[in-house]
Amino acid sequence: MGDWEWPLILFTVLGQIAIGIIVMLWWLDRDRDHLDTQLFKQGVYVSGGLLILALLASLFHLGHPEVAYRALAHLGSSWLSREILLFLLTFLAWINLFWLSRRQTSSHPIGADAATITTAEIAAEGQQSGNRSLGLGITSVLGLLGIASSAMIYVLPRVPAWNNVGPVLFFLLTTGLLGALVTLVLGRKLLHPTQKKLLLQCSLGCTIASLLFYVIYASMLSASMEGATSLNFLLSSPLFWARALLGWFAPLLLLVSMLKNSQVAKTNLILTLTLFSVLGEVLGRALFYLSATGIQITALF
Amino acid sequence: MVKQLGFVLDVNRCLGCGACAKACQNRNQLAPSLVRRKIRKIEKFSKDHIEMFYLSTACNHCGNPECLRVCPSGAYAKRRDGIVLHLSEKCTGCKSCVASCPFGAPLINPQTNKASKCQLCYERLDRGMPPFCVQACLTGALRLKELKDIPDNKLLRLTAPAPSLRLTRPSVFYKPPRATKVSGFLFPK
Amino acid sequence: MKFHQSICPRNCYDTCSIISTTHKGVLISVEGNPHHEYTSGKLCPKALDDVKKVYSPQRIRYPMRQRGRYSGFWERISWDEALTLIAEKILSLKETYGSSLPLALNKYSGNFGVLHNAMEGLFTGIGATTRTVGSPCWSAGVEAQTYDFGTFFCSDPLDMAKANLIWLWGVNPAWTAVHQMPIIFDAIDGGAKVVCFDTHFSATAARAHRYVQVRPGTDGLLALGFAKVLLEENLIDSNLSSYTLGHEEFFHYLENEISLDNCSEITGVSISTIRELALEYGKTHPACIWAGFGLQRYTNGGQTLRAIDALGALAGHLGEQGGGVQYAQFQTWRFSGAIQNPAHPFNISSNTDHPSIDSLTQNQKQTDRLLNINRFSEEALSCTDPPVKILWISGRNPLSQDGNLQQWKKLINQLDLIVVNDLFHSKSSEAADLFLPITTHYEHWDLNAGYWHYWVGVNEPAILPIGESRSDIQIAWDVSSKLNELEPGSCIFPTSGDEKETLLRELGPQMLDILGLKKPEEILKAPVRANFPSTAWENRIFATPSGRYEFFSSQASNARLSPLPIFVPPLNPSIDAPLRLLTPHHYSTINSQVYASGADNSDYVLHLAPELAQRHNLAVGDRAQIWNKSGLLEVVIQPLLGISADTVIIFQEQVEANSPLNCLIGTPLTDMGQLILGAPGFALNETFVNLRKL
Repeated sequence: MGDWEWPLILFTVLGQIAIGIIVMLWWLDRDRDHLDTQLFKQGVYVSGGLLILALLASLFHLGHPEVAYRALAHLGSSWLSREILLFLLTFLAWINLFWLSRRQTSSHPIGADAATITTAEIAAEGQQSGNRSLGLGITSVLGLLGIASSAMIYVLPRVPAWNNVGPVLFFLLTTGLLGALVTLVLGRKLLHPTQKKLLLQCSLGCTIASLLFYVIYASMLSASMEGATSLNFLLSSPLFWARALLGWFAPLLLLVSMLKNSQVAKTNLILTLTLFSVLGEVLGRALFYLSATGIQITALF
Repeated sequence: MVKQLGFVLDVNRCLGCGACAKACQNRNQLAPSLVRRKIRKIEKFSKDHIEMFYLSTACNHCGNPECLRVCPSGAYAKRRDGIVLHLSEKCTGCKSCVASCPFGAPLINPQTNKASKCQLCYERLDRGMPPFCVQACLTGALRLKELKDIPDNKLLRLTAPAPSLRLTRPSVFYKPPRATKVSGFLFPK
Repeated sequence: MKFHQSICPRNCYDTCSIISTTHKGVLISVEGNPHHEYTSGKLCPKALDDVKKVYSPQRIRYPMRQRGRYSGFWERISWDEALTLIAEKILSLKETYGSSLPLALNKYSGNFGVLHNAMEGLFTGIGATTRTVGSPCWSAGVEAQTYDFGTFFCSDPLDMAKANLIWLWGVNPAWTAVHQMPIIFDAIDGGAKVVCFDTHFSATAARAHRYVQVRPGTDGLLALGFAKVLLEENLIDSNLSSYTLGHEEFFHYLENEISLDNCSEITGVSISTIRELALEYGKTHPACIWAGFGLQRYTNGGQTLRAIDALGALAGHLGEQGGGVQYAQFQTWRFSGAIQNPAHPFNISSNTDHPSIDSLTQNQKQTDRLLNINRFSEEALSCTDPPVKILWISGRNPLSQDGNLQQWKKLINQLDLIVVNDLFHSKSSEAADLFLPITTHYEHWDLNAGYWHYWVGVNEPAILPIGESRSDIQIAWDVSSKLNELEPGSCIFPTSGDEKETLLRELGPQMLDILGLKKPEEILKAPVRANFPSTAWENRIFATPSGRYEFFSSQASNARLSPLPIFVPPLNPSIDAPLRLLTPHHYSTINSQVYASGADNSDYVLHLAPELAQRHNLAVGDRAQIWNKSGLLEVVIQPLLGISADTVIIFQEQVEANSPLNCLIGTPLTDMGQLILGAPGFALNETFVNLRKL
């Protein structure tokens, strides 16, 4: 059995939220103009804050944080090296976004007269918006690659529970789910109802996918002895059931009822939903580390 | 020529006495938690035979080492004689090797916060002396050999339920165990 | 870096020659001596921890006095205080009782080095004292082999490599004599077959071709069953009449008293197996039997050994290269005995326990009061004129190893002073008033011989004594010095000396001859192998009164034993205690001798047959209780293969438990031992318990 890997739990979950936000912003920005500048700025700031926290947390995993730079030395075969490089690049891309967001003028300044906007300004805005989309796109792609690399670290022959597509899939689903929900929280006053609905639908999709894949994953686990040990550990752990309730069942109920009743604007519900999902994912990640059972060598052949 | 040194254990000579593990622990002055060599007892029995033997295992100095693959700081190196070395000065203590080694060879040294594993006593080998474990083995069950020189049809590989582990090509071989025929009228059925 | 010759002084078959390495006066490593043909450069895991043992933080470094027995309040005192306390007490008792008999020594094999006999020397120097006699270990077998061969002597252990068939009978060398295993493996590589007879499937059985489970205490009958098959199949050595005595009587006994049906039923070995094995043993030459010490720790132990000896003789395996019946030997221990016999016109005494057997003189029996080491507490309590008042425990841990702890408690209450000299605290030091710290074999000179191989050698100090520890001989000199200071002439043991000179004096003309040395100093160079031929009794000339192998022994008859080897059943379990408890050695310890290196088990592990566990509804790791009239012990359950359902086993591991394993043990005695060692041995394996789940 594994340990409570707090630095890794925080690093992966926070990093995935940070990148998820950028991905959502990029998605919302796909038809220009649709992304509120205010939301863009907030999103970039919050994402950056989380990313910095995540990177700091990751240092605590190391026995020697002061020489963390050495961990970049083995890009040829180490997914950890690649992850670190990609996260650093993501961070650089984020700095570009931050710079863009500082220069960004509000697309619909409150109380400003639309008539006063000049052609030049429109052109500039178009240019800005294009840079913005490109910046978000680059950051998203780097971030998603970084997350995939994170996941690849755990694809190890030694740990049957991890030696499959599971880690990549679950890490990306966390990114989508929490990215969408946190963006929704940030944009609860700034997003159009249709955008909110889109984000909720995205969350619902991710949650359903997560649950479905988990069931498949669990049945795959029972095939190997160590996997079965992991599974037994999971099913007998109260943490797992808390995770299932907070991360799957409660959010599913809330999401379905919100989408059905078109209560997309209810801030309280959004906050509750997000809180549940974040807790669910944090517990899920903790269990991911706790339940890892390495292979025992027991025989000769 | 690239070589591959590896352990060959004759399980029919291994007493499970633990002298190899003790010598490793004491002569390398390892902290109690740093167990580089472990002994496992394997028991199987049929109606009139018992097969009981011991597996003494340390780092297997794999042909295709996972530790070397996953280490982000390049703190692992494979020598021309096949020894997988951990280079402490490059280690960041990220524990990737600990998580990835199928044989549990690298462990975190609580005193240095870095990984630590069997280095096959390479400094002794370089001076023409056997590793401490091999030197300590009372019966000659544990030996260090150039694996390319031995016909492998007579030897067994270490295994685990997951065939993916063969990918690391552990440089450790075992002679097939011989079972003991048993008699006695109160023997369990 | 400096290298030193050391010798492991544990009571063990192997008596290893060690090369110890020091750097700037610190012991840094120990390795087997590669030039010693038995040690052959290797050490067992126990010895590999010696550096840790020497510098262990648990080791006692200063003389200590306990304020209140069992209180654990130990205070450091000076050597002078400790010696004065002891000497004054001795002198005042001598005055009160007009005799030194209230002074008792209980010493055995904690360190088998010859210089440790200084403790006996000191006591002899004081006067007639109370001593132990006999051995807790090998008495019955020693006496049995003495009846058969005239003395007990075994082949050079390397001789076993020449065998084509090896029977390991009641011996577990994989745990207790590891250096013999490569020799056995060499024999296997040469085509030999190995059969292991035991009560349970041991680590040795796992390396044998065949394991035969024998019901405890019935090995003698099994040997007689084999002998009967040899007789029926005419596989008897045709020359028997030329070198044995009484084989006709023995044949008669086998023909009339031994039935294979009965033998099979009692021993638990099927008739077909008995026949098959007997034929193999009769037809294979050379065939060797190694009879272990466990076999003879029964009330019929001596007969068991005699029956096995007789089987070997019948098949003609005695004196055969690579054959024989091997038990142990004491021929390489013919030291001069100067240490334990300080010259005195009126007082001739000798070392009593592992003895130069010949020196048990009539004179000593009259002067010293000799108590059976295996019933020490009972016999000491029964001494009234005068009572025992001082007990000195040296090289022993009786409160962890002796039977009858209730009597020990009573004895302790009666004693004025209990002195323990040891390296570490023990169950026995819990009851002591004084603890004297002693040196390890890395800190003093000594002279050691083995009782299995033929090697004798010198142990030289590698480092200075740790703390204020002193060697046993130094302590003996110091006590004598203090006694003479307080009352001149009160002790004739030397008051000072030189360890090296003293050990050289132990090599008298007889030893020098055995070792093929001209001068004692020659042994300082390296260990020496005694110049005996490799095969015991190779000329088939025996040391018995008849000069023959004696199936029929009048010596036995004189000792009121059957002149022929016969089967006498072991003790039977009772309804109150239906399970036989065996307590064999564990690979990590020799009896209670273990030097904590982190292994802190808090429970005794009870090994039992899976079906017995099932009957009591017990699974691995369950807690249970075993008990009998003597005591009660909590245990953890561990099923074991190849053990019969009426037997349970606790290996003697180091366990930090409140009640010691020996609380269950009484003091049953073996059938033999009195004649040769002065007292019968300890029939430790005749212990019975009841079991219940907790």
